[in-house]
Amino acid sequence: MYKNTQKKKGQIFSLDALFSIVLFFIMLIFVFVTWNIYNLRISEQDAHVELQLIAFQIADILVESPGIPSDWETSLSNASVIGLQETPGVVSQEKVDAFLLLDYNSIKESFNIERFDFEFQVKNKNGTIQKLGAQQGNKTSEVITIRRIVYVENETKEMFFTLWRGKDA
Amino acid sequence: MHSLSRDKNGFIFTLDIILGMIIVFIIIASTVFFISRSVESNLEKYQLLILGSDIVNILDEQKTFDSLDYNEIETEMEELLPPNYEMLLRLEGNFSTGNGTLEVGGNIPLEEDLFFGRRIAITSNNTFLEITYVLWSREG
Repeated sequence: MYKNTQKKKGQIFSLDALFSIVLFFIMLIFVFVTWNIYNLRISEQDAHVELQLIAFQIADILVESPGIPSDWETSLSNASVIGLQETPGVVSQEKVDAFLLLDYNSIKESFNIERFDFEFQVKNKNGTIQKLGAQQGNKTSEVITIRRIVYVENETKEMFFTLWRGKDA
Repeated sequence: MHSLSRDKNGFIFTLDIILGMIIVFIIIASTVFFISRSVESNLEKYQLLILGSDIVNILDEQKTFDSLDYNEIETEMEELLPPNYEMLLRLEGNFSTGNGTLEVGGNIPLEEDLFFGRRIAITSNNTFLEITYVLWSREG
């Protein structure tokens, strides 16, 4: 009788231990997998927010700042900050034309976005498009496009600034 | 009696596990909920606000507000507004039309996210206007 009880106790203990170990590993795997999934999501989210923020800021600088110096379009080599504003609320066509003549890589350097690629478009009401930037085929990752409606020479135009991560980023 | 006591111990142990697991799952679920909420994109919200600001800026530059004419403002506004969005402009100032308040645009929906902005403008007749704009996505 004594021996029997001893065996029974040991058996129950092993089952308990086995059950606990299995449960523990299931929980451990679940927590590990969840941790990895959310770690990945947070990294993706960080990258997305960074891309958004940079695109917003560059579009804002372009539309709402005259640049430094404010007449940078007369001497392109002196442009330290590029802005397209003529007066508050109005974008200068001369500055847009000058911006389109600038070197793509020097614009990236000026905005400190060497890790990214961009495309800049100004669309007239009649559908004419002025364009600058990398080819659309290079877009391999997430793309953010900021659309602004701007007032240029008594005419309403749409301005698109598209930003995406470069291949090497 | 001895057997009962062992059962009771086991029962308490099971309750401990259940309590522990409930707490763990509550923590995991709340973490997942808050992370999912923060993943929601702000791009559309920002774009809507910027859109409203750009439209009011253009109407101001075009001197559309000078007339304080409902139809003219509505036509110009509709022309600039993308088809999937609606907008309401509320103009307040020292003018006779509508006792100094003019509302142009759609009716504010009850169950949509609304985005507000405000701008001060001055007409050619030196009338100060406080312009409040409200934007929302069109249903469907």
